Amino acid sequence: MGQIVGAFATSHVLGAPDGVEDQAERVFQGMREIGARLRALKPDVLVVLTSDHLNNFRVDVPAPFAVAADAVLTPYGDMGLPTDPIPGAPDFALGLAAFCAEQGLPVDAMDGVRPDHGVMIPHGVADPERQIPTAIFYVNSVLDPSPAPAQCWTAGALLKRFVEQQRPAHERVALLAGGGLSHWLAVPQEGRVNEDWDRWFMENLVSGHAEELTRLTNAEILDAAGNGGLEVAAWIAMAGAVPQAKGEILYYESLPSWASGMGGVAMSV
Amino acid sequence: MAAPAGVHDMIHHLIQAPGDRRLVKEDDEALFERFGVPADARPVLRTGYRDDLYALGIHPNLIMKWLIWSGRLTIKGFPISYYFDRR
Repeated sequence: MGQIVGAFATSHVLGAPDGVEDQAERVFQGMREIGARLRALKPDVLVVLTSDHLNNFRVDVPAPFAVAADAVLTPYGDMGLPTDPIPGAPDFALGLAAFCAEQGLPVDAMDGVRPDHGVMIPHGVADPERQIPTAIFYVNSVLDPSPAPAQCWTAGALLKRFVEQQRPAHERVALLAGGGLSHWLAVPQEGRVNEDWDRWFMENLVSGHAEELTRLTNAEILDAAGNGGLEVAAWIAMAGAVPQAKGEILYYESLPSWASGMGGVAMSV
Repeated sequence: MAAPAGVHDMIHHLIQAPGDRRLVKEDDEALFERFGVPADARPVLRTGYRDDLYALGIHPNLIMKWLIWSGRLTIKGFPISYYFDRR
């Protein structure tokens, strides 16, 4: 059986440092800390759980959960991100999709994926050398319907069972969830950040009460954390793969000029 | 509220065809014609900002792309190298 050796979550964007240099640096150093801890675990496979931003999916074709089946992934290059290819993990990704389907959770298998910043900012900081085979597990919160927190928890639980039941002995798997925290993107409330909610969410996660987050509805998240806040779906999926784990908040900054609450956690696996 | 006909298809096309993005500034009428964008939506697409486009029913993530390509994004840009060169 394989083993989940690490689980992390982080906001998956960066912004202009002008005027917020100290906060920007704390965010970046928090992301670097996550990356350093992840690399120290020497994973054989890195699973990135995140939402796409309609660069690989169409707004009129719902795909709540999906994996990238490519052996080599060429980044989309939005935000000026490097487009050097990263190694995929098609055997893992396709196996995960098949396993989830057998258990009643449809997961699309996608070819030709060009990961955008949702993958490539956390991945780019975690694996700058682009050496770790990477399975992208999309938890798509920008499409309607967005997966509900309870579904995301189930997806994480299936990911855990897949690793433990289907993967080779001694395979080391690290999880890196991306997205959130509260932000209102391209809507009139853009620039609002709900720091209280962000801290409440992260505290639930790291105090061993992540399953309580599955009681949330998407309508409640949308109201409290905005349309971009729905991206915490990926964090909940990550938590579902390491149930009862406690963790540590590595950084949090409220950054209205980035239109986002920015946070990152490491779970004790 | 649903986006006007053709708008989401037009933006999805531009996501997949980067070479056509220049048309947003140089010949938007050709794009609007090609995707059958209604006449009353065109002025908003041509000059509107975030809230105008949102009021039109366009998906927020697609609004972001349209504003970037048309040079009307209000969130400040930055070079990613500011961070990535120090990974």
